Amino acid sequence: MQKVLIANRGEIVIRIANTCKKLGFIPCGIYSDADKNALHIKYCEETQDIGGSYPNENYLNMDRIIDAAKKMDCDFIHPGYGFLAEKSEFAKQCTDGGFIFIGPSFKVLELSGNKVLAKQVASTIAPVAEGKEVSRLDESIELADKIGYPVILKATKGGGGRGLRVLNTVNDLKKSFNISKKEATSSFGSDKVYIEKYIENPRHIEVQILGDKSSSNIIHLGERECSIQRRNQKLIEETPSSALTDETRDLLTKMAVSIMKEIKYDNAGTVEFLYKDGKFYFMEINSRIQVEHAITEEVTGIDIVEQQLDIASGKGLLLEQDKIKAKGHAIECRINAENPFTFTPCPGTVKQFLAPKNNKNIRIDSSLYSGYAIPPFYDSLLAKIISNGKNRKESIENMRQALLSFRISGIPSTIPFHVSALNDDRFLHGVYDTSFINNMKYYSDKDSEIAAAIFVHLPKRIQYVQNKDEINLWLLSKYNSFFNPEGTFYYNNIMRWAN
Amino acid sequence: MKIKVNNKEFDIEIFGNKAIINENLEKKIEIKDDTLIIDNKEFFIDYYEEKEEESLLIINGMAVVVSKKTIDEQIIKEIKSPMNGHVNEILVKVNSTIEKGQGLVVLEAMKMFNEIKSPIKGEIKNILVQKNQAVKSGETMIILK
Repeated sequence: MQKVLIANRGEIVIRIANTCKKLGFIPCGIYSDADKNALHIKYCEETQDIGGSYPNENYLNMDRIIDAAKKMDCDFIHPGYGFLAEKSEFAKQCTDGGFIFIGPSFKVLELSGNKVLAKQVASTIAPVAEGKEVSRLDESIELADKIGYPVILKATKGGGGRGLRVLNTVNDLKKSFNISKKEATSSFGSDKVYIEKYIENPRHIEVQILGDKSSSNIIHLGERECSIQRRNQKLIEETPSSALTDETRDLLTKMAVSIMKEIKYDNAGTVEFLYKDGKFYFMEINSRIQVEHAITEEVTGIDIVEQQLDIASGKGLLLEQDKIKAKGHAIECRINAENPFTFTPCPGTVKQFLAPKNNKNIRIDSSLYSGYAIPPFYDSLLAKIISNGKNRKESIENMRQALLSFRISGIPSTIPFHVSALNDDRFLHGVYDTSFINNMKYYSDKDSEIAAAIFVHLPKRIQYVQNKDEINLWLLSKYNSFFNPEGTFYYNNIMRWAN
Repeated sequence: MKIKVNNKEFDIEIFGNKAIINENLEKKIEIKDDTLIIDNKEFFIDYYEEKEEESLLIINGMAVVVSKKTIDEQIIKEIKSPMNGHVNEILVKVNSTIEKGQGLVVLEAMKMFNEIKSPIKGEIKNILVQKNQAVKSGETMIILK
């Protein structure tokens, strides 16, 4: 039996391990010192402790990962999402080390990871926002004047919604230019930045692609609507998108497939677009499995990780476009360890975790358990609730039921945000864009309001108080290096805790 | 007293294990671990955070913000016994100033000693209990200024 090293942590490892087992592969895993109690270890048949707490010591450390793969005698390396998933250098090192990288080749990753190059290629097929790479401030000012404010300043090698700035005036640009270059260097290892026209409050729609270089077969599995975001990172995704008609969907998916054909894409990937006033703008290619892939699986019945393994192992992509039919509607809500109003990540120990059981309408992808202490070094994503139904209305109702029976205590989570979003008229009518969270009304029912009013008056409530000092003491007691980090680390990959 | 919950006003009075809502609705309250039971209906307290001006609760998956001002002004001025028990020791004197978190009274219940701490910084106006006296849950023991 062949072995697959899943070079990641948390829920995605569990997700990938399950498909590995289904297909007869042996899932292997890695974990850091801070992740010794992580649930994903239990789902892998073999694991290696790769030490450290900060991501650059472990999940971003190529040498240690390759070393672990060698020790466990793995055949494949699946990078999951985040961390090294889209680093071309990692794909190269895997291949050079004799492993099969489950993802696109080094060359494709170099192209898709370079926003300027990817945009250039895509511009022959789809509209793109006007703009280009800049190296000096005077050149930037000239370009911004030409295309008109507001403009957006992004790191060429950036991604995941990080390191981008919206600029409304020339003064904003003057203030931000050098800071952005510095941030780009520290976060993405390159000081290259580019400027483009900022499209205000668009919808964010992406297309799931599967490609197989060996047969030049490239297909799509439909779109995902991902407009509900905070800090340019997604919170709720759904498929199909309420914004599209059959005609616009057809146009969108054809453009996505053509772009991926143009770059000879291999394995699973996503083409992201902005949609405003009936027009699509190509944004970027995400060359990895995405957090929100599960909603596509729910409506198409296709296991995307299985397809990834089939493509990488040489079995090939056997799906045919005509035979893929999406049925019903699916929604994903991301449960993060964050304050539901400010979205500040909040650490702590999960006292009680109770999730509804998986059934035909609800799927929970999670790495949580009661008593789990969430380490502060990584992403704040804890669990994903995926609902489906015959139609959008049913899918929303199933999600609402699931959210209300989902219990996480001891830490704040984004559950109240999702409950509110699912009671928001804009969401219910499917008419929303990326500005959704700016005008949120938080939902609560009268009984819970009365219960809260009573609770805060009970003397006994004192023992439930969680304040920042206690959280910081907790952090210090568990991770004494947290407040005095030594050495360099990728700040962007670390949860930004309270303070 | 009137307080604001998610920008809606409620009138709430609490006497021991009873709460009166909007002057006419009487409810029985009980608290077990993380569950508040009001007239047999369960409310899960997932998260509770107190800030200067308000408290944030996550209750049954919903976020509820309770304005704290009225609590500090009225309820917290009366320190009530959270349980049935005996006064084992009184740690403060009338007119003494106290810090937030300072112990006020030690109660004994079921052979356990519980120190009741001050939720605010203030001054002792009156002490209504004596050493070795039995107190009922919800009984006012100390009044703060």
